[in-house]
Amino acid sequence: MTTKPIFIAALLWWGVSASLAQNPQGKLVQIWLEAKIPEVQKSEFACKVRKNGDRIISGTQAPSLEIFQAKSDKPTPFVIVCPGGGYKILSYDAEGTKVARRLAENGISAGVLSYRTPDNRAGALADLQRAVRFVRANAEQLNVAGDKIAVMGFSAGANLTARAANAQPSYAEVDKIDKESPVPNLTGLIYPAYCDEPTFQQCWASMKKRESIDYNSDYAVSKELPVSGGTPAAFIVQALDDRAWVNSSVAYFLALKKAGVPVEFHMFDRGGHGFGMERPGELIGQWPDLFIAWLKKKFAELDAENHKKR
Amino acid sequence: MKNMYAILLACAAIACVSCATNSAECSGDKTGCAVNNAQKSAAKPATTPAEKSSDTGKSTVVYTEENSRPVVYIWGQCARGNACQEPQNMGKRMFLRNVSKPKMELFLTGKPGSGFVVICPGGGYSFLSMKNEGYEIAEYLNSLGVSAGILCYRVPDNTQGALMDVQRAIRIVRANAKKWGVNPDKIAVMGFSAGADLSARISTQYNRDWYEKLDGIDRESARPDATVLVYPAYLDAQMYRMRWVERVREDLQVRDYTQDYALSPHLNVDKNTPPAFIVQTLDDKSCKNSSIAYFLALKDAGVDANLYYCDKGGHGYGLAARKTDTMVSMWPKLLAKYLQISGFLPGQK
Repeated sequence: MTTKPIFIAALLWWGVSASLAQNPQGKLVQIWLEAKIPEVQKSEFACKVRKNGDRIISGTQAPSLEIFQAKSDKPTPFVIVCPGGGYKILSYDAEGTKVARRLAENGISAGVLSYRTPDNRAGALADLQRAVRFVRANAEQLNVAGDKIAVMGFSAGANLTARAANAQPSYAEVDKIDKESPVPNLTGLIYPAYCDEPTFQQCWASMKKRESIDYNSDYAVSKELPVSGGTPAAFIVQALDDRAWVNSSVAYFLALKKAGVPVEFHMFDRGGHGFGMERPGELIGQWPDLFIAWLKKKFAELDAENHKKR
Repeated sequence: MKNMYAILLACAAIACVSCATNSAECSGDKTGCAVNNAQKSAAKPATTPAEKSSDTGKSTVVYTEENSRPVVYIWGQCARGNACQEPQNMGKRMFLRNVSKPKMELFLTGKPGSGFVVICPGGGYSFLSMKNEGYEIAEYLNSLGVSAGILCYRVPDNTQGALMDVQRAIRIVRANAKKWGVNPDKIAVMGFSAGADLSARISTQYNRDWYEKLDGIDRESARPDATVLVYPAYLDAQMYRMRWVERVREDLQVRDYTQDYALSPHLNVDKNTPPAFIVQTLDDKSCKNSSIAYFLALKDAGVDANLYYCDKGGHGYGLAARKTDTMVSMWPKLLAKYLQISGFLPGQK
């Protein structure tokens, strides 16, 4: 009688609301445009979807930024998010789109960088440097303040972030976008990997895993990272029980401290590795709020400094 | 039977007199409280905590009230009802410069199952910063439902006395846990600057008897269940050596990690050291490496540790409530979450 129409209506309502509930995608832009991409390596694109819907991406030949715009009349800061995955894959949603969305909800526009994998570390650095230049060059179009560009990364993506914070331009200019500086104003490193020399040697130079020797040796910063007084300020998050990777964050932290770079280091007792934003009720789950507060305070500081210089 | 009772009373009286004598020696002695053998044999510790002072005022602990607040005199040293207070002009910042009768001012929430934090204010072991490292901290902890006690340890210049004071203070809290509505397995020690050094000392050396046991209270464990250190001082070997051994006031040399972050020899961290929550800023000119030396030692020993390290704040900022433009002002909120997760809030098991 009257139950059937109600049943159909309920089904329709569920279908519509379900598709609305699907998170809207960000705006995808190619960062190399028509230019010749440096450090090309053969790769095959693959996208695996985990049970919870998170995508694992690898082998892209067209590095891109998926941009999530913050609603704002005034230009906003921008954060480039570099997912992790050992430089072999990209944990594209767990350490990418979910984070970018959270930033945009808090007034900070963000873009997930799909950098080249697998095992193309030089290409990855070129992609990130290009992304920073791309955002700077298109600041007006993106409603972004060109002097408030942060880069953040997870695990290998955090290593990539540290490299971009401390590197000279790694590729020859291909167009006028490359006239911009590739160095970010601020950096965020979430459970960074390979920033200590022993682990870098072990993972990328085929050295055997060695026993702990002393602080000088264990926490020597990777030779790839020439930290100096000019290195951009950093926000580092790490769990102490992430024993395989924990020395990396300590090494980068101590190097920044020694160089007098403003560093914020949050070491939490528990959390493990690769959790992204998946530990909301735990102590380490507070990191996104801390990071967003830090970004805003630091960008305000940069504003005040720039104002003084004028 | 009556004669036996009288003899027992007489023995107790003798024991009380001996204890009081020892306490008086302890408080003035800078190098330590060495009880000689003759006195050891004479002093018979009471089997139950002395909660009420006798008419002669020779209890080993005194519970009283000051300014409508419960206060415990850790070694007795005064008769209940008499003025135990050592009145002094503390000034606007409330620096307490003389403590010879150590006490703990209690801030009990009365909420069953809440944890307790023994607060050790800083002041270089020369004075106690009672306002921003004492009362404001106790009030904040109470606002979370956590009980607290401000430990007025002996100052000035009595580091050994201070260690005895904090050891006994923790034991007193444990002995009174049930009565105070406090969970005896959730007693933390929390210190600022020199008070953080004191907290680290008791956190690593709780199982040594720093004074001759006096009464049943001293049968309790002095191990804190958690350690909170805010801009801690003297925890790295170089700072400790310069302050207490060479006694020079010079800028710390920057050498290398192994030397800069070596743990001070006066501390020993192992796998049983309590978990820690440490707060520190990069621009702290007086304590550059201390927090990191302790943190790395905990890491090496496999102990749970949290480090809240930001770039701006300086030293002596307490809750940093007014520094809202800096990240350091957010540390109390994170401590609240830590205490909640660690089971210090009332109503948790």
